[in-house]
Amino acid sequence: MKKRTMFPRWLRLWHWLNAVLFAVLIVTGFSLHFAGSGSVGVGFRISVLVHNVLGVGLVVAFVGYLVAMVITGHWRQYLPRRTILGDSVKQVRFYVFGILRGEHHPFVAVPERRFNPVQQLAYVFAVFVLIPAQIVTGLLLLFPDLAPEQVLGLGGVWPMALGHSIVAYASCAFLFVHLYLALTVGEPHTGVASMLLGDRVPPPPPPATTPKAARAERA
Amino acid sequence: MGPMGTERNHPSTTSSSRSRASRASRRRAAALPAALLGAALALSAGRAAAQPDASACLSCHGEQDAVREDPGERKASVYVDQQGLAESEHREMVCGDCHARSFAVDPHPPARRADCRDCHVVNETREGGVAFKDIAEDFEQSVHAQKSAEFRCVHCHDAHTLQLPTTRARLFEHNKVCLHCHADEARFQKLVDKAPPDLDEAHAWLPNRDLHWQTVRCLDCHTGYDAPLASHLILPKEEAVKNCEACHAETPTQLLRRYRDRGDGDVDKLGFLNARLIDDAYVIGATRNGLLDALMIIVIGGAGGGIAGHGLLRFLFHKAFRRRVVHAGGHPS
Repeated sequence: MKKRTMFPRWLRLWHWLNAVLFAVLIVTGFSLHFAGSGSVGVGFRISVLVHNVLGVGLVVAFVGYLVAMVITGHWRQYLPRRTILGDSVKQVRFYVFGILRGEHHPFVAVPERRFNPVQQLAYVFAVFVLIPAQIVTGLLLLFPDLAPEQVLGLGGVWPMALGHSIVAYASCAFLFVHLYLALTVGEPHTGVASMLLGDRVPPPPPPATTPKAARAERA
Repeated sequence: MGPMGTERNHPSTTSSSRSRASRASRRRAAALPAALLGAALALSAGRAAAQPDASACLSCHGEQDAVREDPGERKASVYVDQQGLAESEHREMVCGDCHARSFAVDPHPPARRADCRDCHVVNETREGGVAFKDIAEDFEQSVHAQKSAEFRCVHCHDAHTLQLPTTRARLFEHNKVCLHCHADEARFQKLVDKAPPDLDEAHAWLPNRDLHWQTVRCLDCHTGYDAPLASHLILPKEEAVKNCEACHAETPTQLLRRYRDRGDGDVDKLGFLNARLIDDAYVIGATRNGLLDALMIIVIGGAGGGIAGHGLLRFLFHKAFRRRVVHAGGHPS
C-alpha cells in the first residue's frame, strides 16, 4: 500500500526556510531596535541590510506558501473543525494536567488533519494574522513613503514600527512555545525528525480517521 | 540677540532719492552699459554718501527679478526678501549700516558690504551662550576656511533674512543653505577651483538616502561636536559621521545636537528626546517607549517563564510517577 508522509517535501522546505528567516530576522530586528545599547546584536548597518533582504525573502516565501497551500489543498488543514471549542478545552486540559500524568495525546495527528485543535487555532492566528501583519508593517517601514503621512496627528511611520515590534514579540513567544512543544511533546511522526526527513506514515484503516476512532485504535 | 550696539546715522530719505530708485529706472539700470556705470562711479566720487532707508532701497531691491549685470560676469541677483527682512534678526537695522557707498547716482555702484565681525566682535556672547569667539575659532578650522580664502559668513548666513535656528522649519532650511553652493557648480567654483563632489554618489551608502535628506541636516553629520555646541566646524568629507549608531541609539549624540536649539514645554512630560522625536519621526533605535519594552518583557518573558514552569512540572511529575510505578513493582509506560 502506498505510504503517505505527514509533511510533504514542499512543506518541509518552506518550514525550514521560514525557520532560518525567522531566526535571522529576530536577531537583526533586535539589533536594530536596541541599536547602540552596548553588546546587543550585530552592527546597525549590517542589520539593516540583512533585515531588509531577508524580510523581502520572507514575503516571497509566504506568498509561495499561500500558492502551494491552494494548489495542494493544504489550506484545509486550517479549516476549524466544528467541535473546535470543546476539543480545544480537551487539548488544553491535556497540556495542563494530562501531560503530567503521562496520558496519551487526545487528538492523534494524521496527514489529513495534522493540527490538534489548539494548534489549529494557534496556526490560523500565526499564518493569517501575525505573518501578514508583520509583512504589511515591515513593508511600510521599508518603503516609508507609502506609509500614511500622519496617524492621529503624529508621524505616520511610528505606528508601523510599534505594530512591527509588538508582532515581533508575539512571534518570538510563538517560536519559543513551538520549539518547546515540538522538541519535548511531539507525537510520533510530528517531531523534528519527521519535519526534516518526512517520515512515512502508514495509512490508517479507513474508520480510524476520526479522533475518537484513532484513540480506540491506539488503546 | 542685541549685538548691534554701535551708534548709527540714519539720514532721512529725500523724495528725490525715492524717485531715483523707482522701478522704471531700475529696469533701465539693468540694461545700462558698463561705460555708464564707470561714469557714474566717477561722478559720485567725492560726494558724501547718502544712506537711504530700507523702503527706498527695497523699491528696487524688493523686486524678485532685480539683478546686477557686470560685463563679463553672469547676472547676479540683488533681490532682498522683504518679508524675510521684516522677520529677520537684523530687522532693526537700515541698509546703510552694512552697505556704504554713494547712492546718489543711478544705478549706484556695487555697495560695500560690511564684514559681520565689524559688529559681531569675537568676544561677544549672546543669550544661550554661543560665543562668537568660538564660532570664529571653529570657522578657522573648518574645511570652508581651509579650502577657500574667500569664504565669509554671508556665504551661508544671509544677513537679510537671518533668524536664530529655533523652529523646525528653520532646521530644514539649513540644507538649502549648503545646497546653494554644493548643488550649483558655478557658485561652488567661485570659492574653490574644483567641481563639487557628487552628492548622490557620496551619500549612496545611506539606507533610505532620500528620507535621510528630508529629515537630517547636512550639519548633523558634517560638523564637529566640540563645546559649546557650535556647528561652524565643517569637517572634511572623510571625517563626516558614518556611524549609524550616532543617531540610531538610545542616547544618540548626533540627534541631541540637532535638537539642542529647541526648548519648549513637552520636555519634562515626555523626556527631552522623546518629545522631539514624537514630533518629527520614528527613528529606529532612538525612539524608545518604556511601555513597548515592558510589553516585550511580559510577552517574551511570559512565554519563556511559562515554558520553564511547565517543563519543571513535567519533570517533577515524571519522577514522582516513575517512583510510584517502580514502588509497585511495575514499569512506567
